[in-house]
Amino acid sequence: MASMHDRPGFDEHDMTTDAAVRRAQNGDENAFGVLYRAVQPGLLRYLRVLVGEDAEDVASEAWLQIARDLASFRGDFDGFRGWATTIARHRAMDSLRRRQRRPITGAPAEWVATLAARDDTAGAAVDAVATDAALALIARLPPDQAEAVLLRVVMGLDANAAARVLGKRPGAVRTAAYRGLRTLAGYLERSGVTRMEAPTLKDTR
Amino acid sequence: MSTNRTRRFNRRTAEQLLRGAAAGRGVEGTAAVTSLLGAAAAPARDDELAGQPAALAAFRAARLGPVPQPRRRSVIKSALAQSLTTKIAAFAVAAVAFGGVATAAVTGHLSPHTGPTTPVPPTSSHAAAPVQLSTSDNAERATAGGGPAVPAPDLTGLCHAYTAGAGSDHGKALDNPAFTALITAAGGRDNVAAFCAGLLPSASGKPSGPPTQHDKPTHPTHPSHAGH
Repeated sequence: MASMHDRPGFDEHDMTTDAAVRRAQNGDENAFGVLYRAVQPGLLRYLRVLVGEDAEDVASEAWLQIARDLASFRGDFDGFRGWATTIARHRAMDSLRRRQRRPITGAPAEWVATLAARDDTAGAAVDAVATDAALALIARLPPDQAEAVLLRVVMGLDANAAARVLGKRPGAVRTAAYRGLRTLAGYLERSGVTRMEAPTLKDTR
Repeated sequence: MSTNRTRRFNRRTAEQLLRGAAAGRGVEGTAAVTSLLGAAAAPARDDELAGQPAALAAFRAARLGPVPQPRRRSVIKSALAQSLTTKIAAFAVAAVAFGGVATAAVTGHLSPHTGPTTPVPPTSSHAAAPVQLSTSDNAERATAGGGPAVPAPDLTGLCHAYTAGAGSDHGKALDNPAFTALITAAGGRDNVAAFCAGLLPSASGKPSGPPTQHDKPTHPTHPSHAGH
């Protein structure tokens, strides 16, 4: 539960996320809002790589189902996050089947430009662009690598939980994530980004 | 000055990066990847939470509507509940059989939609014994495992959820199984928008009285008035 405070979107301090799961299951709407805010940002970013511009719609469909089936869920917040991710992934696959469309591909040039700009400018707008650029670059990875990296980094799942979402063995997910990071490093190195000073990330709020 | 050679990082470093990304913790020699992952996992932005009202509306609708029974309960509780629900279900089946027969007597056909929510007063005196409905059998089927016999969901809540998903493609949203009841009540996917517009008082600024949907268990199939 404590590890959740790292995740994008978690900003509630009056209710632990584990407690929020229980309370939401008992009908507490505020608790459901806590869960939404804790999970949705990462979920949306994950979906953007999977289904591109349909991400918001797919996320809405996922939350409808989450709300409907919450009573039958068993587990704590970590379990909930994996469960919600699995639902969202299924809806994403449905969407892709309906549309017969490939996921978006990103442009590395944008990311490089963004990184270069970070030294001069700071603020929410730049951070937003940086997030989009990072997702666009991750979207260029082979799908299994992209998903492994996103589930680990953006959804904050551990290797076992990510493996359950993907229906794979944990070892396979670890390998895919590792290869994904190496590929990303390669993209960045070829763009010359590695010669930059390390950007500071901690003051992103 | 570190040389930032990305080839340096191995599986272990990768694992550290994957774990520490959101907290902005990097690994020596991987600054670029660290910053990329940190940006991907940056704190939420307001626009990413824009769907919250719709999600909360869906939550309200689900809470008021048919709540799936928790699978595992304490043995005593579930035994108690079971004996109780069996009785209730037997009652319901008897009522349905009774009402169904009565309805059949009036309309001349057995409605396929007749669920346990049709409280047709059994005025018909010669409502015979429940035909070949083996009561206990149907009671089991009606209650066990969240079968098809669920109480009517909160249509207003579903309409709120449907209309709150604004800006997106409503037609697609209706693919979600959560809206099945709404589509059924509206009488088809194409009718949902109009149905909700009528049901939600302030939806489209139409203060005209909402249609009397509550009174009709099914959508308005006009029962052929003696036309002129």
